[in-house]
Amino acid sequence: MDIFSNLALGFSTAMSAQNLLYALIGCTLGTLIGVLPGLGPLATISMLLPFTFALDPTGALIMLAAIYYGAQYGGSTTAILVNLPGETSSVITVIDGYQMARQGRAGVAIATAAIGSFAAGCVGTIVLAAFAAPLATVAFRFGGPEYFSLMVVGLVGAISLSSGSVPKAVGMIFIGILLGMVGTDITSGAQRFNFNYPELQEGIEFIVIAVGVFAFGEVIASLGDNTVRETSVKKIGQLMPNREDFRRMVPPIIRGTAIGSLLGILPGAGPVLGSFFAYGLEKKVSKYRHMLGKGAIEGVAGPESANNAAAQTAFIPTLALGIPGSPTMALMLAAMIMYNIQPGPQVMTKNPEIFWGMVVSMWIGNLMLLVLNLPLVGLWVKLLSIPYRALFPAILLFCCIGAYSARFTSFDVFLAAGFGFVGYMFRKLECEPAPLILGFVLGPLLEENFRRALIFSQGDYSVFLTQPISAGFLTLAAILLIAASLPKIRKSRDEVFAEAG
Amino acid sequence: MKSSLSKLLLASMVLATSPVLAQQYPNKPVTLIIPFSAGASNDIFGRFVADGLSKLWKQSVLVENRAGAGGAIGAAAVAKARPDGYTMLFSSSSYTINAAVQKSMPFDPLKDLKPVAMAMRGQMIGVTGSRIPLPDLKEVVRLAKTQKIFYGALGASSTTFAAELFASVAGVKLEAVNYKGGNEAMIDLLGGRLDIYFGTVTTVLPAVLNKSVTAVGVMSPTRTTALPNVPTVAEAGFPGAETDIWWGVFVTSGAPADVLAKINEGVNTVVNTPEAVAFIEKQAALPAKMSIDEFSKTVLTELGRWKELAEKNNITGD
Repeated sequence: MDIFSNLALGFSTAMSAQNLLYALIGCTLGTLIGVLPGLGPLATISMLLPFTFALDPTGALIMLAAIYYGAQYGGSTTAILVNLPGETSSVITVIDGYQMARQGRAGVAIATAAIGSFAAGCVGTIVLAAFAAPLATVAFRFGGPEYFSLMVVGLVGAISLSSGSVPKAVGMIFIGILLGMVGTDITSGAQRFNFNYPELQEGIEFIVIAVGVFAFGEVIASLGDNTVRETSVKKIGQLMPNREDFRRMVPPIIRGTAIGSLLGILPGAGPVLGSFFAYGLEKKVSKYRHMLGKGAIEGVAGPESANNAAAQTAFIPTLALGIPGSPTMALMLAAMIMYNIQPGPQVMTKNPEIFWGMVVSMWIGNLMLLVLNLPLVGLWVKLLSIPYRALFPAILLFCCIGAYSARFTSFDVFLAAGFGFVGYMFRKLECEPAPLILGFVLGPLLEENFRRALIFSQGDYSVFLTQPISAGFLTLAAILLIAASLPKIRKSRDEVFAEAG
Repeated sequence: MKSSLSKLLLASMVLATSPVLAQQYPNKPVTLIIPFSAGASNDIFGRFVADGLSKLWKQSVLVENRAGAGGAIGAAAVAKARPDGYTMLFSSSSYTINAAVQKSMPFDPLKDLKPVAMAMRGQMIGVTGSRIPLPDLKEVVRLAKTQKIFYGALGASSTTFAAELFASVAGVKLEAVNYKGGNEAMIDLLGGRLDIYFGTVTTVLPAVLNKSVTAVGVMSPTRTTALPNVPTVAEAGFPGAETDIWWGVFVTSGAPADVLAKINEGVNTVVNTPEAVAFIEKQAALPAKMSIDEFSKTVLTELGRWKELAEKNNITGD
């Protein structure tokens, strides 16, 4: 397996004028649907799938893949500009990205997201090209105990997401877990918290909570704020990162890329976990960690690199094993099968031009997205100079469309409105919504894997400690917990001593 | 002479009536409700059938996704529509499964909707993992008598019912381990945690071709073209464990008989053109061709069978 000759084959496939055009169409479409809340890559790919039958398989797959990561890019734009994460993986970007926008640094934040994503995409592509086959087997090693312990690390890490009070963050995580439980319990088939609404039988859509808690809550809060009346930002400020910004974004991009590349391999919540973990890591190791939550560039660069790297390496289990890690990947797989391409280890030897063409086109797609998005920064940022009286109704309208289009039911729009008030209350009580979202996304995975682990072990709890990977994660979680509480213990001890003295 | 002429006239009128009436339907756009979200197999097949019908009838067939409650929300919308055949439902095997497990449904699955045409059917395959060697179904049954054999279940779904049907035919008990999706179950199968999984051809085929799992039986009366060496359940020694998954069209009960006939004929035409057969086979399914009565009977039989299994194994949906 000569990686260079393979990449050369890939380049010769991907660089054809026709395939470049497909990648461009896909990237543009992806960016657009990423910017519109609710209309995610899943819906878009499934709607476009029938139209791609006319194309040749390589071109069609290149286009579908471009839509997929174009959407990852676009999702962060709304997160930064209007406090609305379009995808689960851009929830974290909201925290510092929106603060940057309010400080007039929206352009810098969007550019940072684009640059970080590009850098991560390059690394992700190389990882995919070089290690697809050996890394694929990592996915099998993760069973119930391993996933459970990984989720524990994620939830413990979520406490550090919040810059405010720890008890409030813990409370928000629990509310999130409870919201995640709404609907049918997969193990027993029992209905939980559905209050006899059939619409709640399959749980709550992520976008409904995101639209409510983030976007609606923000709009209500802004209306109640007498100090801001005209536009959301007073001055636009610089559009592109300066030398200092570049210097500060490099380390988080490297760290975020590493974390994202690893977590992307795990089927399930790769991009989400990647961005959460990257943010948690910045909180621990960054030189500027005291500024996180207040508009630090690290808070955008790290998570954005992580989710894009994960989006890239998520192709590993799909391509190498034929087992998709997400519904979107399942659709990509369906597309491959439709073109008579049988995914699995043999795809690399049997259809090398398709495999390597796709790998290379991912890299080209990332480059295109960078070229496409940087000039658009000025345009996106101009949206912020629209007066509130026009911008707010527009945001509300698009959010309602987003909440509706997830399942085509007006119930979800009302539910989102309800969450809007909840989001406003959270803001008033100074409870941050990001830990809630993490609880909502990871809670169901935590429960499912916990119960599966115990079914397989026939009720033996020691399985979480006897499985080495699982034990490693639990140790890490314990260390994180101790590290998080140490300053508090020391502080209270100091207070005690001060009083005594 | 006069009477024979009038008889002839009468006869020709009778002959002409039904085609004339049937040609009237559809004289305005028809709605096809898909009770699942975009990307699901129902969605892919439903859109395909809608597209074919609108070309055949030269009348738009609008697709509407009304997801939720395992398909019950979309089905209830059709149940409450005007009984004129202009609102159709594109449902699947999940229809009879939900009817068997859900106690409070927003409509009556037996009375409110009329099965009109089965569009496609799909085969299910049992695959075994490597936790303990299970080369064939006989070995699965032999070991299940002395130890726990874990099967991958997906809540109240065709996968779960296929496994429970097999277990009841073989007279053993298999341990259900529930997953949200078939792919998660496949990972545990490959990782040597799960023992057996009964899934669609699409889900299991890549792993079977990689030889990372063993295909032990096709749950159909006939073998599958994708894996011609895999025996059917009957050949493997367990006749009676056959079950196919299907996709088909329902309308609101009370629609005129000629409308039902027109839809049945339309669907059967649309799914059996050479292009359609090629498309459906690429999705690892087969085109169906059933009369209204055959399809109604299939739905009824399944409903009774799933109800019995659900009660016996305590599978609930709400």
